[in-house]
Amino acid sequence: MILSVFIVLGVLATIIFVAGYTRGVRLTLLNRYISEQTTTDNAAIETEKPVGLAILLAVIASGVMIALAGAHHLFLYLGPLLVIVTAIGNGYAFFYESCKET
Amino acid sequence: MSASSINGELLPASLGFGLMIGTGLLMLIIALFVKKFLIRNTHDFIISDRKVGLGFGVGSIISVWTWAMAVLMSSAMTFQWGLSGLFWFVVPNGLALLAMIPLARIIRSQMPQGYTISQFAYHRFNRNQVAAGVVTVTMIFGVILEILINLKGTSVVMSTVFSIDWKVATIATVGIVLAYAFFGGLWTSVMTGTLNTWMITVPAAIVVVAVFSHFQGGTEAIFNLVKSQDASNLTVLDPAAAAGFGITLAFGLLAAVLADQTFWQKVWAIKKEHVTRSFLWAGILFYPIPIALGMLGLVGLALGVTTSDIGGDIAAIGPYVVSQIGLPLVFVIAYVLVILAACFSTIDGASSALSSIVAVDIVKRFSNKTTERTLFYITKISIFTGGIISAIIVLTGADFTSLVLTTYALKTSILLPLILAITWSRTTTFGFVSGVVLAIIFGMTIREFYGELIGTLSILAISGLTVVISGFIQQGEFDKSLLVPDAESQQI
Repeated sequence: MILSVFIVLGVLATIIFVAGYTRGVRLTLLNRYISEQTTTDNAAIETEKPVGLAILLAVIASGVMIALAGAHHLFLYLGPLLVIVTAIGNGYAFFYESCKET
Repeated sequence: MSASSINGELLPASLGFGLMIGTGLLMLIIALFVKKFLIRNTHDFIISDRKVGLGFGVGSIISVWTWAMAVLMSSAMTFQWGLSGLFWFVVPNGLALLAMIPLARIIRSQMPQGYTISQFAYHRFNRNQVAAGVVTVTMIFGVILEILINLKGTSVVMSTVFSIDWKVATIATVGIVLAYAFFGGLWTSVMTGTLNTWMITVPAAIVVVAVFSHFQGGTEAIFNLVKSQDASNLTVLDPAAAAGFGITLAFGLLAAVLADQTFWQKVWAIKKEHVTRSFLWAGILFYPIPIALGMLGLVGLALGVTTSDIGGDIAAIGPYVVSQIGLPLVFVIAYVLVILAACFSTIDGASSALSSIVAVDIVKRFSNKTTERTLFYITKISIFTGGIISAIIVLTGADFTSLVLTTYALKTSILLPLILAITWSRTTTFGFVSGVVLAIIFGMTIREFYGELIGTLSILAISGLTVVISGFIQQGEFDKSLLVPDAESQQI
């Protein structure tokens, strides 16, 4: 039963990933076309936005996730569940980028 | 690794080759697409015209950092040290990627048109060939070792799951990866690497849950069996794991990322506005991968597997559990695909990094009049160099301990001087070079006599202090604004 749920989640993650990936390829080709037309690049690296807190929270969260696996057996599923979130997150990154640039 | 077969029998070689070649063909299609639409010159080949977006940035960073051995070692560390082992393996792993962010921000702002970290050292230290040479050699050793370890890991897994000779597996792996990497350089690496992130994540999650489901009594039984054998395996607070490998590994991983052109190449290739976000998202999204795969180590503990059951090599615990627990063949294949994806992406990423070092830090630096056409050919051919050298080392069965030690010494010694060179304007050429040299001479000697932990801390202390003391004595101040025009004069 749980395996079936994870397979369904895996399929959903795959759909999001593939949709994002194809969008990313289209955006890359579009960027290539634009860069052939113009040499101006006005974007700047984001040096102002602080990321220290995000890094700290990520490190703490990873430690907590591992510790939870030793607290209750159901938390053993947390790792596999979040790995699927990784695939979804990567797919979402393409949409995020696309929204930012249009 | 006795454990590698399903119920004692090896899977057919044709299936193994089918998986390798099938994966390679998929990557080759992407590579040919890249070659046709995205590659016009050397600049595109080694830095993707600085147009890598967020999605490809995140995916390629995750896949390059997920080595084949990392897939195996997350299970192995859990098997050896319990959850404390997983904690000390995983937490510094993601942190190493996240630690790139502040340095990436500084370096991309100060030198927006850069290509390699050796090039940065060259301009930062007033075109000093020794300082740049130290960084270049470190990067080349790092790339060779990356390819070598992944080749070795993959050949071991392929030859023990399938009836394929490990030498044939090595040749097939390097041949397949280099064939597709040749066609598109960094663009191919980021596009195939991102696809590999999917191949690592979704199949890994399903395989781990399938293992849980096939274990009699499920996760509850696994949890209770591990607890009944040794409750300390379920805590993350065992100090033995930290002292045993955790602290040393943490510094080693930091050095592995910060002193690796594979990541610096991405700092300059990703669009400026997405550099921070790419590394932040990649660091955060990377974490679940080793955590999930580490659960296979817990299953090994629950099964009561001993080190001798797996041929004395704890890295074999993941393949052992997956192949021995009675999973249907499809799940075993999925697990092999996870390892192949991790291996392929790291090798093509490292090969691509090597091509940028060859183009910028060797050909253009020492032969500035090389034509674009010649440079492009040399750059493409250089893709093969690291792979072929690594394959020869693996195939000869040579003990590569000395290569591991040399790379370790160079990377750890260069870690603090490089960070200071980026962040502290008073870092001098003399301080940088002498810091690295003294750390190698004295730090490695201390390591030899007093072990890894004291040795690593000594190397860091010697290299860092030498740079700082030299900076205060020499009283020089580097004008960072010089980096921009200096590097722009070397545009490819």
